[in-house]
Amino acid sequence: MNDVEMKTIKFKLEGKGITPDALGKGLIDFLQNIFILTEAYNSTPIGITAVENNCITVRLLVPVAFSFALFGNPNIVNSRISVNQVINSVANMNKLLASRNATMSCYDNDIEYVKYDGSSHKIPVILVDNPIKNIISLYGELVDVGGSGEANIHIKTSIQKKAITLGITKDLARQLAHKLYSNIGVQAEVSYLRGEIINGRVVGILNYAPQSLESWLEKDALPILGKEYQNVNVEDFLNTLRGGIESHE
Amino acid sequence: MNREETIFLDTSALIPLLTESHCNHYKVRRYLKETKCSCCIDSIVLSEFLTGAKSPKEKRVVLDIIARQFRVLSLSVIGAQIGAQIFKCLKEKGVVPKGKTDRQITRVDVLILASAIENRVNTILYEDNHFFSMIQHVKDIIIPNYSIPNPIRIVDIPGDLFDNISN
Repeated sequence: MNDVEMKTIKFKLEGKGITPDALGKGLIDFLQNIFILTEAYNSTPIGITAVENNCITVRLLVPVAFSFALFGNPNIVNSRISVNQVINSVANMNKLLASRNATMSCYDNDIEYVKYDGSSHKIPVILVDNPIKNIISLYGELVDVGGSGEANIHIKTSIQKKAITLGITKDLARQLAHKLYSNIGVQAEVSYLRGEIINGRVVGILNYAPQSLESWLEKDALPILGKEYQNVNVEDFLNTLRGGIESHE
Repeated sequence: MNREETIFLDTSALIPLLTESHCNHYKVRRYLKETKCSCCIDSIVLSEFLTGAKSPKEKRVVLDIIARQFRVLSLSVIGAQIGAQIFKCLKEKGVVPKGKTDRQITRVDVLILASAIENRVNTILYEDNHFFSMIQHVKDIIIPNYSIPNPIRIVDIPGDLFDNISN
């Protein structure tokens, strides 16, 4: 941080119920979201300089290149913060402001740059790139299923660090309910932004129910498939197949 | 939240696994048993397996058996980009074969590898020579936000007494 020229930015959260006491854990969430949204647009880690008590003001030390114009723009995030983290943080901040009838003013070197209230003037999520839609098969551990209004499922996959949330019909959700904490496979229509799945919807459940490899081989696979490739030279077969040479050529 | 460990089988590993008389059957089987990872294949691998099967049973039955145990992956738009990038890099390195057949083999290998990369598998298990030479040139390619799976060639898996006895 020594080699980078720094400046101070300030977030001022104001409103009737805005005191550390009233916010409780909400204050920690607020700070966390501020950190995510600020750090997402810097190649250098930021530093906190002060939290002031009168209507909660957070001062941060950031590189001079930081601009509030980039705030809420998940298209330019760096590798430390994911697109989904930015989108979630923006949503959480807007929710906090709207629910507490509060405002958040953003200052760049003590000059007010912009003010948000979470409802008529929301922190925007600026999607310069349009998300790309694709239907894919998604596999992983089902870690949550349900929802009182819109049903959804959460799957812990190998492709993203955080569990992926997908909308689902209640009928399909009921079919998956007994598979909680099991490995499942679903077909889903998902939207990608910058290589990350940002939302999606289950369109079907795959017949994926892995068992132990030995049991599967002995009981299911080998008795039926075990002789299909007997005495076949696998490499020759693959070269022929992948090379596009058919037997009649 | 940690990502789970996954292993991807090329057709040259799937066939030995499913053919008890194949010289690599017990080696692949033991390796998968020991690693305890979730197993994946690509739809191209599945298609190749079905194509070469001598007396394919009711296709639906075969598909059902394999799809219940393996995660059947396929390229999405992201994987398509990764595949294109790898092929372009290989071309720039001058390692894409000139001959029509070898070139086509490389292209299929790249698509299978792209699917594995997109799905962030940890290990890719294979045996065939073309795949081996392709992956040697891919190891140093940087794909932003993705990493190249650890390639394990079946011949390099140490054998043990159990494999020989079983054969």
